[in-house]
Amino acid sequence: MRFRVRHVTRFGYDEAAYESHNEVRLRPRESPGQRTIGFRLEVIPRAAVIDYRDSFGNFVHALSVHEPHRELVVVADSLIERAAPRPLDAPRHPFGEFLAGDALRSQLEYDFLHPSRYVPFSEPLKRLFWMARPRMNEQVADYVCRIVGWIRGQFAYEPGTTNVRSDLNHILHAGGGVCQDFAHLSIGILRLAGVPARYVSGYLAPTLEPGNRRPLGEQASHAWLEAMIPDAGWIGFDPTHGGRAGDHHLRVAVGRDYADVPPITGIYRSVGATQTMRVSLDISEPEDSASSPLDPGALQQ
Amino acid sequence: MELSTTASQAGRQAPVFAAYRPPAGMYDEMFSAAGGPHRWCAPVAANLLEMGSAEFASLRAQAERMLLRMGVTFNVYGQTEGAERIFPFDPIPRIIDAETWQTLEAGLIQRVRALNAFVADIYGEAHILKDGLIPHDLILESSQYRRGAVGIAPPGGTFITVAGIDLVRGADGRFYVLEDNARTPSGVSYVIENRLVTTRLMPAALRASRVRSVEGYPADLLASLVELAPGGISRPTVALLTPGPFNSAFFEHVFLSQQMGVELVEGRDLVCVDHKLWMKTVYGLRQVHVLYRRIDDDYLDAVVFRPDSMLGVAGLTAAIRAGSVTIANGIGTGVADDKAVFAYTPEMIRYYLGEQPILPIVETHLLREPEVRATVLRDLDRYVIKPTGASGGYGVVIGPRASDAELAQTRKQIEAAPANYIAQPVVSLSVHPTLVDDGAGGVVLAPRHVDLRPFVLMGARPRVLAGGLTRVALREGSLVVNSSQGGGSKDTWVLDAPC
Repeated sequence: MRFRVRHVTRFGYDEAAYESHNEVRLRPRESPGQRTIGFRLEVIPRAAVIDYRDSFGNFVHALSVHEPHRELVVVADSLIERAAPRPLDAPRHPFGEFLAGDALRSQLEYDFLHPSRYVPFSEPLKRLFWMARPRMNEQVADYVCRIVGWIRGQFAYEPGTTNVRSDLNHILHAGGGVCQDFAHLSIGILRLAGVPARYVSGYLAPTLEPGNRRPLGEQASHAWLEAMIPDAGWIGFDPTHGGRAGDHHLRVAVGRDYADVPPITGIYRSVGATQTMRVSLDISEPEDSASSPLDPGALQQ
Repeated sequence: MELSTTASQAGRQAPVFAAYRPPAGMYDEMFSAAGGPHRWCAPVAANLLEMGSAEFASLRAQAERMLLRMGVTFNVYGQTEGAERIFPFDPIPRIIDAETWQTLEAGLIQRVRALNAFVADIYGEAHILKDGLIPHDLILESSQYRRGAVGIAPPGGTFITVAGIDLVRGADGRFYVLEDNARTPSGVSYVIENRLVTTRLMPAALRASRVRSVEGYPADLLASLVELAPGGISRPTVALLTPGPFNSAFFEHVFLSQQMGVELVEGRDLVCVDHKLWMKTVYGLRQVHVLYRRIDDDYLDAVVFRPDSMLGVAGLTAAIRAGSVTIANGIGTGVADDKAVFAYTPEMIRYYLGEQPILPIVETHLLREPEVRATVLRDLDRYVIKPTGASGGYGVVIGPRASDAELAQTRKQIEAAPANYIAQPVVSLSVHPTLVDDGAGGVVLAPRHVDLRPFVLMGARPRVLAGGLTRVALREGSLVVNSSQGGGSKDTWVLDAPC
C-alpha cells in the first residue's frame, strides 16, 4: 500500500524569532516492509538544511534560519510504500531458552535493554512487571503479545492526563495516558523481562475509502514499540491497540524512548515570551503514482 | 659555568646540596642509587653543589617575582592579586636525557594515534565494541560518551588534536602512563612560562646543557589546527573559544591566543548562520574555519547538548557535520580518557595499530567486575580509587593516606555504583630535589614527588612538545601533584641528542 503523508508544523512567535536552529526527524526511515519512495522538506522562511543519520540510524535534517521571522513552517511530504507485516512464523523460542543468551544480548542490544530517560526502572514499574512476568515455557513472541494486550486492558486511553515529557511513572500513577505512555510502559516491562524493546514514532494511517480525505489534526501521529524476537528481528507491537503493528503503521524514527525521536527540537532567540505550535497531518492513499498529487520524480530522493 | 647570574659568590654559606640524600625505595630524578648524580644531570648538579642556602633563596625569590610580574601581564581583566592564582615554581630543573625522551616521544605518539582511532571508531562503526574487546555498557554508560557526535568524521579522522598524557616514574626508573587527558588539557602555558624564568635565571646552564626549546609550541599548535581545517581552505581563520575570565585556565587561553595571533572569543562573539560558524567583528561577520575550544562538550551547543548553556554557540554541531568548520578537540573525546577505558588502552594499541605498546600503563582494576571488586575492597587502604568520569584529581582517594571514615565512605560509594570507580596500586612516584623552607627562614633541598605531563599535538603529522609540565607535590610525602590540590611545577629540560 502507498501512503502520502503531509505533516505541517507551524510555530508562531509573539515577537520576531531569529538565529533559529532545529533538528527535524520527519523523514521516514527505511525498514523491512516499508520504503520511502519520495520525501520533500520545505521550510518557510528560507532555511539552510543539511541531513545526517543519528546514532539510531534515523534521518535528521538540521535547519538554520537566521533572519527574523514571526512564523516558522516546516512541511514534510512523504510518499511511503508499506507492505503487510510478515506473520511470525520464525522458529519459536521458549523464554527459558531465550534467557540463556542473555549475556551476549545485553551487550549487543544494550540501549534497548536498559533504563532510559522516559523508561526508568522504577519501583512501581518493577511491581507491575512482577504481575506480568514471563512463564519459562512461554514463547517470546507470545509473551510480547500478551504484554501489549494486557497493558491495553489495564490502562485507559485518556488524552490530557500526561504530556510529552511524562515518564512511565505518570501513567502508572494516573491509570491512563496516550500512545506514548502505553509504549513507554510496555517497553519498560519487556526490558525488565530481558526482551530488547525500542520506541517507534510514526503515523497510524486511518482506514479510508480510496480518494476520501479528511484533515486529521495531530490525531494520526502515533507511537508504538518494536521488540526483538529471536530469529525474526525487530517486530512492531502497538500497546494502544493491544496487538501487532499493521500495514497502516508508518514508521518514522526509532530510539530508546521519546527523548531520542522528537519530530522537531531546537532553539531560537527572541525578545518575545511565547511560542505556539500547530500541527496538521494529512494522510491519503493515492491509487497509483500517476494520480498522486505528489509526483515522486519531483521528490528529493 | 655559572648557575645564577646574580647570586653573590662572596656571600656563600655552607652548601646545602651536599646534605641532600635521595630516599630509598624510590627513583630519584637527579641522583642515582649509588649516590652521585645521573650522568645527564652531572653538569647542573655540579653547579648546585656550589650554592649556599642564601643563593637558593635568592633564586627562588627572583623566580617568584618574575612569575608574579608575568601573572599580572596575563591578568588582563585586572583582578586583585589575591584572586589570581600563581602556580608555585621550583627553580631546580627536572632533566630528561635524549635517549629516554626518544622512547617517550615514540610511545606518546603511538598512544595518541590509538586514542584517535578509538574515538573515531566509537563515533563511527564501533568495531571495538562489536568485536567484544570493550563492553558496550562501558562506553554507552560513560558520562563522556556523546551520542550527538555519532557520525561526525573530522578531517583526517583526528578527534584529539591536543592531548596531555600524565606519566609517572616508578621505583624501577621506568615511565608509566597514569592517565590520559583528551578533552581540553591545560598547563602548557606553565611550561613556556617556566622556561622564560629559567632562561633569565640560569642562561648559561641552559645553554651548556643543550636543552631543547619549548617556545615553538604555540606555532606548532597553530600549524596543527590549520592542517585540520576543512578541505579546500588555504588560509583558514582560527579562533580560540574560552568560557571566560572565571575559568581557572583563562590566562592560558589569553596566552595561547596571543602567541598564536588568533582571536580569543566567547560564545556570545560567535554565531552559526547557514551551517557556518561566524565571529562578530567590528567589520561584520567573519567566517571561522577552525575553533580551538577550551569549553566542555556539555556547554558547546544548546541544540544538541545542554539547552540552558550560554557559553557555546547554537548550531555548532550541525556546522561541524556540514564540514564548514573543524573543532579541536572534537566532540566526545572524553570517552578516550575515561578512567575505566584507560584499562583497555594497551589492547587498543594492539587492536588499531597492530603494535605492542611502547609505554606501560599503571595497573588498573575495574571495580565493575565482581571478583576484582571483592579483592580491592578487602585491602582498600592499599589502593588509589578514582571516579571514572572525572579529571583534575577530583574525587581521588589515596588508600594509605585516607582516614577510616574516608575509606568507609569510599567503600559505600563503590558498592552503590561500582562501574563508576577504578582502583590502581599506589605508585611510589619518583622524587626530585626541591627547595623547601627549613623552618628557620632559609631553604634546604628535599626530595619531593613529581610527575610529567607531556603535550602531544595531532595535525597532519604528530608534534610533541619537548618535555612537558613537571608537577611537584610540595608537601612532604604528598603524592598529589594537581595544581588544584597544592602542587607546584618545575621547568623540564629535555637534552638534545648528542651529534
